Amino acid sequence: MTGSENKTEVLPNLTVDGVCNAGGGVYDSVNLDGVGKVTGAVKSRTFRANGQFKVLGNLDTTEMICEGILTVRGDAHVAEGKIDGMLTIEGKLGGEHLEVYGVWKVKKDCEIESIKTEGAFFIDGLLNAGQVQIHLHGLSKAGEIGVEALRVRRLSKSKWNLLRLIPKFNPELQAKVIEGDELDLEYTTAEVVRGNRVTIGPGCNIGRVEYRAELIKHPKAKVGEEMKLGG
Amino acid sequence: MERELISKKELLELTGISYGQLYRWKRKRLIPEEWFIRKSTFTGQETFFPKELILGRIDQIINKKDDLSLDELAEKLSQSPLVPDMHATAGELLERNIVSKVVLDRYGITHGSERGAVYSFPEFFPLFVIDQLLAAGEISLEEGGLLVETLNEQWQKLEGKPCDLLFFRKMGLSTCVIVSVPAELHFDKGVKVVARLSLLDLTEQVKGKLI
Repeated sequence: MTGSENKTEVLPNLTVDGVCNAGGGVYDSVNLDGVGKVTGAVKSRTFRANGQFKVLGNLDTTEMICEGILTVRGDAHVAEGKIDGMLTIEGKLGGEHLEVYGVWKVKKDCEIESIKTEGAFFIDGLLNAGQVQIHLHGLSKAGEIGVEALRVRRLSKSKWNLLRLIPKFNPELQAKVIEGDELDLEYTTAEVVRGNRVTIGPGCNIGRVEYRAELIKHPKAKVGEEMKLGG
Repeated sequence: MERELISKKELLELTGISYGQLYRWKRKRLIPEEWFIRKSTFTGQETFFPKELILGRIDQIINKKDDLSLDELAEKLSQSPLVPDMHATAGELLERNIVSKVVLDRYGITHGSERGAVYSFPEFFPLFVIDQLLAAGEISLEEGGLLVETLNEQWQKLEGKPCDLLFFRKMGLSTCVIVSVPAELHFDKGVKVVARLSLLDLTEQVKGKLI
């Protein structure tokens, strides 16, 4: 975990208020308010950003609270995080427990133990996670999804006040392949869905479903092929 | 020699594990990223794995996951792939069927094969290799000596690179070569390649038997 090798050393804090650039480094807590850049990799115990910030390097933090717009120009590792607003990661994203409300983009793979998200996301690589809860407000895409449990729901638009940030498409999840043990999908378009217990809800358009234990299909769902595997 | 591959679907059927477990182990670095090989097939893209490596690894994980946490297991498995920091006593080597008694008596570091003698990985690995070949009846005990010598001498120079060990004969003469892979070798007609072994695969096998 972060900072364990520096137990004896007292780490500095980084505080930014207003419009300011700051250097990267190893910090105890990072507090950013306003607009600015951090010109290098950041490693910290806590990371709080309010406003619009860019980290021009990797970000590694145990705890993150982020409101506003944050861009990370490298890989991000966030053990525990809550993000409201827009988050862009240009590398990989790793973490334990994340909650993201808003729009988030990850250019490479995502590896997270549990994630809860409301809004929209774009993951170019693989979303590999334990527990995933997705509430769709806008078009969301992932290259591939591999999970233990995944639940996709569509929320009514009226609850959402940042609508203008989202591409005005139907709230829908698109992925090439979705694989997992427990899959509970709604408004999802995928070429292949493979799982143990699979629920295909309304608005789904799936090319092929492979399942082991059971398949529950909503009458309004479109499924090309169904295959039951194994015992 | 092409490595035999197994598709993800076949793997899950064969081992009885689920997608969730597989992805979880990948997240925990129990299964290296390089083993996920993407290939396009007529049903779209599929993921394949090197068959022997992945089956061995999954077997280890399933057998050990009750005793060790996934994180501890990941640590054990992620040591430098070719030269793991492992030690075993002669007794352990025999009990775990890594080296047979015949080989240990003849090529062991202490003569008379005391059961307490401690072997480091570079010391017992060559013995394991020839044991495999001897058991398959492909080489004689004398030729085994040649292999042990070669492996002992060349081991340090390999620096953990993936290599194959080739053993071949021509007109009754036998010799061996270590090549770093991937490499294609072409011999004249009189040469018979007796064995080609991937040292990386063998290392994995030994690790599996010891952990």
